[in-house]
Amino acid sequence: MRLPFLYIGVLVLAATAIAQTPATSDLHLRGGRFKPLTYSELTPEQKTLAEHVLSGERGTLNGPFNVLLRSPEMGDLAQKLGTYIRFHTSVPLKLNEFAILITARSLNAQYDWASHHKYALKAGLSPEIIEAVAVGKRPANMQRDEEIVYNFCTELIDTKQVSDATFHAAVDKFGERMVVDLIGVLGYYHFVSMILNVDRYPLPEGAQSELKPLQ
Amino acid sequence: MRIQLLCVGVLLLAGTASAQTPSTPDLHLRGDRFKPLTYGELNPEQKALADHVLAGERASLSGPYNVFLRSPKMADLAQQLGAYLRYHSSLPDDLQQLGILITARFWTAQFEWYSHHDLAIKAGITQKMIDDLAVGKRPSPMTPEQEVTYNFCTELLKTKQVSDATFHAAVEKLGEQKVVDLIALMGYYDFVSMILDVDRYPLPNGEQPQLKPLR
Repeated sequence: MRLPFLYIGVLVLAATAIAQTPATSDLHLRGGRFKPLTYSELTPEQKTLAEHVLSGERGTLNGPFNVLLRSPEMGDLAQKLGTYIRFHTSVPLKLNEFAILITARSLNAQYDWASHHKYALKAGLSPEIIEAVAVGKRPANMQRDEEIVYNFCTELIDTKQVSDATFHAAVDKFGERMVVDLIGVLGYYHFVSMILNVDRYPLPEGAQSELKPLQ
Repeated sequence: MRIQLLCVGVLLLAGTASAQTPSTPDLHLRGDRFKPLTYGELNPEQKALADHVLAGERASLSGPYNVFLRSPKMADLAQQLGAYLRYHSSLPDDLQQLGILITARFWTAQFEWYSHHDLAIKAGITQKMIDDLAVGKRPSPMTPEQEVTYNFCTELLKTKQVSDATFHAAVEKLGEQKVVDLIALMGYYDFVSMILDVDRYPLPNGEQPQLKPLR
């Protein structure tokens, strides 16, 4: 009887240690204009944000988090919205990634582009479509759902509106909830891209910028 | 003793009734492309969102909420971020309203502009500044804090970046947290402006659009 209790005790301790992994010194934070923070520098509120992100579906603090830590209460609310938009949206993964790439291109957000380029390929978006978006051209040979997403996103970003034809095509095909979630992903990645651009967040070592200036 | 208990009972009932005001049929929702919803049409998730917003600091569902209700989970996360940015942000009120007006002007978001006019005046933005912003002119005079905010926001929206001079002026004058809250404010109001522009959200009866197309 004593022994099993001991085992449980050891297991609980081990589990606690794993759950506290972020407490180790290196959060692997990177930054350009905003200095990369280390775990020991963080206030309790900042630690909470870091732990929420590391224990969540992202499991990494790459991207905007070194900057978001500067305003941890806001950062935590933003990452919750971002978690919905990345992992629980009604927009199918491939179309969600397509919208993120269109947004990253419109803001010349190199890091966002590079990381979502990979996710988009994995989600089944064709390399030809990605290449066309990268150089600011309308992709050829899009499927119907891709075409509707492309029209909706580019019209909204370029003209700040969507035409009746584009709006109704999107609502007829996807329904209202998905159209609203699509605006959500555009809005959230607009925010993320602005954070990364203001920071001049660096690409991983050895990586080259994939987006050239347009026109 | 009986009478006292009875009184407490009546007060409790009255309290419950007023806390449930949203269950009255009219939520005063307005919309254009997205049909205004009534309380009776809402599912439990949508009711939860409406109740949260009406019980919160905004206490009104005007603006993006009729559209937000189409994706209540996403919207509930978005409105929490919005509530931070409006009511708990590190930014002083005048800089907050300035950031919102610049964003609304960028998107030609008529309702956003209309509804923040009075809030901006109350926060210390002058009518002359508002008139300049409306026509895309640099306002003058501005306080030094307003000036770094104006430079930061307009540069970021126009060029998708901020220069070293503008970045460092903002961080030195405002500090990192306020700069990050400012980017978040712009990101959130980009999103809200997109929602309103896609919906073609109407101005209240009798109001005329104040923003003309720029350039």
